[in-house]
This record gives sequence, C-alpha cells and structure tokens, in this order.
Amino acid sequence: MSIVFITLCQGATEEITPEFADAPIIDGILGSEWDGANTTNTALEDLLITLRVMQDNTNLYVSIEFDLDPLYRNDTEFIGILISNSSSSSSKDFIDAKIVRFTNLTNGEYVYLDCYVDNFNPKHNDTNLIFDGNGAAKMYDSDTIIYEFSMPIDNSDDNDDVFLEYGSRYAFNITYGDWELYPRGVIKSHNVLVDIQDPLPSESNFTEIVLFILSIVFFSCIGAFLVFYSYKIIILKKKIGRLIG
Amino acid sequence: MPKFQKEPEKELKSKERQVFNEEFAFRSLLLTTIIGLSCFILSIFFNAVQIMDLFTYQNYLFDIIEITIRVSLILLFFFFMMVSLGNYKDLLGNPSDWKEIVFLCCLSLLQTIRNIYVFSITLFGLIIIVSYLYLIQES
Repeated sequence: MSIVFITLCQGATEEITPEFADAPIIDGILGSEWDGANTTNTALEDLLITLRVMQDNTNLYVSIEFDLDPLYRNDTEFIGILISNSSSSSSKDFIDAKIVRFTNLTNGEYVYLDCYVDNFNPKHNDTNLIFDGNGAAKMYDSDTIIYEFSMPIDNSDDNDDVFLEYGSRYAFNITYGDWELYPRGVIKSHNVLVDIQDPLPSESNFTEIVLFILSIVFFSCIGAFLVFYSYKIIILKKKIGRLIG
Repeated sequence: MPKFQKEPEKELKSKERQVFNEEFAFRSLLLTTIIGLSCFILSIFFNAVQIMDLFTYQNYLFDIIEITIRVSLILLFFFFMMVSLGNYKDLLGNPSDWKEIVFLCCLSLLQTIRNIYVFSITLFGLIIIVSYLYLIQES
C-alpha cells in the first residue's frame, strides 16, 4: 500500500516532558490510566486538542483528544504522528509515522499503520512490514474523539522506525486529515518536542542491588574465614616444625 | 635387660617415614589451600562482581560459557578446600566429619546467590562430588 503523506514544515513550539506512569491499554478509552500523563492543551492550527503524553521504561504513550462538529468530519479521518530522528523539525528529518485511520467512522472501525517516510517523498508502509507500537481510536459522542498511540522506546529492530533513545529530544508532528495522502488529505498539523526520559530503576534493578550487597557480605565472610584458616595453617606449620625438629 | 634388643635403624626409618608423611601432607595442604584461594579470588570476579556482564556483546552461547565458568570455579573451590581441610584435620590427627562438608557446601552455595542457574547447577555438582567422596571412602 503506497501512501503519500507530507507534513508542513513548522517550527516546534511546545516542549513536552512525558510523565512516568503505568502502561495504559491502547483502546481509545480515556480511563484513569491516563491521569498521570503530562496534559497539554494545544492546537492543530485552529483545531484545539488535548495532548496527553506519558512513558514507562519501554514505551511512549500519546493520547490526542479533540472535539469537532460531525459536519466537518470525514468517514476516513486520521491522526498521524510523524517522528523526526532528532529535535529538528525540518521536513527531511521526519522519517517515521504512526497513523490511526478510520476505515468507517460511523461504525468506529479503524486501522493502525506504521509508515516509513522517505525524505519527504511518497511514504509507504514499513518496507519490512513490521508494525511497531500500537494505536487505537474511539468516538465518544458525535463531537469528541480520542486517538491513542504507543511506540517503543530504546527497543526497535525495525530500521524503518526512529529509534527513540532515552534522554533524547525528538520533534513530533501531529497531523489531522481525512485521508493519509498529501496534499489532499492533510488538513491540519502541528509540531511538538518530546523529551524522552531516562528509565526509572525497575524492581528487578532493586533486587539486583540487594543481591549485589548480599553477595559482597557473603564473599567478605568467606574471605574472613579463609584468612583465619590460612592463619591456622601457619600456626600448624610452626607446631609441626617443632615436632619434627 | 630387655629380652629383645631394640633395632635403632628400624625406629629411625619409621620416624623418617612419619616426617616424610607429615611433610607431604603439609605440602598437599598448602597446595590445595592456594588453589582453593585462587578459585575463590576468581569467583569474586565472576560471581560477585560479575565481570563478564561488562561485555556488551552477549548471546546465548556467551551466557552458557559464563555460567560454566562460574559453576566450575565454585566447584573447584569446594573440591580443593575439601581436600585442604581433610589434610589439615589429618595433620591434627582427627578425621573430617560431615559438619565440615556441610559448612563447605554452604560456603560454596553462598557464592551462587546472584544467579539461580549457577545455584541450581552448583547444587547438583556438589551433590555429585559429595556422593563420589562418600562412595570412594574405605568402609
């Protein structure tokens, strides 16, 4: 499937620092699982959106919520997140796209697409057809719609994706349109900067630290015993020397 | 006057043999202790510090080699310290008993605390060694 999808080059404005939280279920349902997210009210040009961003040690989670009159909606509308390979918002640096597109808005049917962006040229699905991350969308009433995305951090074998590294900043372009085709399909877009946070020490790290400390204690005890044992051998040598001598 | 005259040469030979045996036992004690200590020092690097984890290139084969080295060092430590302790007790004139074997087993297993696979394989190895030592001893 060939997709032509080009973003408008814009200067990034908001800098978003994701909050650490437990992984939400990517189902388009905005439950309490998103309470811990960094919430930003911004706009795709004149379309006001609520952007929620959070992460855990393995994934970045993005939720986009907005209200739009059904009159202006298209049955195949989509939200795309284009990811730059750096903090640069230059169009050539956006090489990866995660897209959720409705196939039938009325019935709530949608597809998640992980696309490759080739130097601002026609984009297509990842050449190796690996769909990293996940996406979902749900229409709450005739006006409100929520899109949710997850994308892996520091873990991608897919050369077609941007490898999101801990402690790095990336430009994200959020695009709304009625079909993921440029220029016809793209209606509005906006750039934001996302700072991927370093991973939190996990429970397994804590266990590792405890085991490391215990091993130091145990090895010290064994070492102390061996020193004492060596001392006893020296004493024994003197005794034997006297007996033999 | 004693009925039988003592044989000074035989007595001397017996004493020489005893001295030789004690010297041999002590050399064996020293050698096995040094090897046991060396295994323990290496075990510190491999089992406590986990020096091989510093290598970023790791795969399945690398893990097997790492676990093999760790287990081998601990089992060698146990074996040589077992022999060393046996020699030590022999020089003192006492035989080794099961408490010392259990004590050495505990010292060996304490070194495996950081890895469940190393613990399991070492435990299995210790059972084999102790069983072997039990079976070869004279009744």
